[in-house]
Amino acid sequence: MLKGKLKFIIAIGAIAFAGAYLVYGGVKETMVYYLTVEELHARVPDVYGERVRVSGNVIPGTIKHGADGALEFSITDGGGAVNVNYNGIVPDVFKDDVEAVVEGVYSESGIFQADILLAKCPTKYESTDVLYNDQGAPQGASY
Amino acid sequence: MRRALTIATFLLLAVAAYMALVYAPTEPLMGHVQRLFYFHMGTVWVATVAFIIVFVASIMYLWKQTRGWDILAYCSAEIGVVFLTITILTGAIWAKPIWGTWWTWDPQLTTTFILWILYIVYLILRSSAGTSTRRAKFAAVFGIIAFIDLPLVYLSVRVMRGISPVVFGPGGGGIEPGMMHALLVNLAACSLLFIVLLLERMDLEKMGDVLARLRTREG
Repeated sequence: MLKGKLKFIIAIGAIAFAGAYLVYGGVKETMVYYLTVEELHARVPDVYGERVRVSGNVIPGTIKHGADGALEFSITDGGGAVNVNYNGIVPDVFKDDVEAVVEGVYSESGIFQADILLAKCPTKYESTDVLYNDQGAPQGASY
Repeated sequence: MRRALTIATFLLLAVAAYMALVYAPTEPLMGHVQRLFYFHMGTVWVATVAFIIVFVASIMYLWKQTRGWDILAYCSAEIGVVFLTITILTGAIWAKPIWGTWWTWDPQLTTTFILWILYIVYLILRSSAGTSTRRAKFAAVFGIIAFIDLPLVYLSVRVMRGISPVVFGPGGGGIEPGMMHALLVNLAACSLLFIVLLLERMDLEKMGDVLARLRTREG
């Protein structure tokens, strides 16, 4: 009686685990949260007109604020760059060198028209004291 | 004893709030909104422990078939869902200014959302079971299966591409000592709060059992 139930639980657990593993593996192989700049270029011309998410570091000096909130910048991952046009709310931490995630459409003109701009936050949480006392601290902090 | 524990918990919660809001240094890049991190971590820690308890207690319930394990699993899941809700809300409030959105379907957020749904379903299953032990056992099986998603929440952010930061462990940037003090005090305070809530909630559930017994005797 008890043995049968225990077997049943173990069987259910094993099946569920196998299922979860398959789903996880499938998602990992085919669906990614974003493409790298290199992967975006590799998918040309199929990717034209398709809605995608791309991530890369903002190339210093490329951020240009246009009229009525238009924003232009370029992102790179070391293997090529993409010019991005964006119009909308800009995250607080968005600046040179920050890793940005843009969502939108890439076209033949070589311009990525984004309607969503996300910024990745740093994984190292520093203190303000470090910023003021250490020369090697990140530049251009806003606080 | 319970009274002393409750008082100690609320005192430590006050200290934890002070540590998070005043004592901890201000993060230069993100500013004061980064202070949500301490409550975010404190609540997600409690939710994690709560769901581990649901998992273990559900197995024990199926094995021993005693009501005590059933009560522990049910009450722990309830508190876990409340804390995970706070985790998701503080995360969203932080993400709006930092990432630029309240929510995005990145791997960690997606798996966390699934986790939240799974345990809400568990609560619905368990609360609708009432005194039926057969349905209570069914809920316990679900409580065991739902647990599979928990490691995925922690793995996804490390293995898959996403936007969620990995602050601790390999690849993480770490935090300042002052931030670590605030974090540890917040983890301790949230843990105490969890213990107090769990004890109270289990007492309430047991009182419900006593009441049900008295009612059947009267009727």
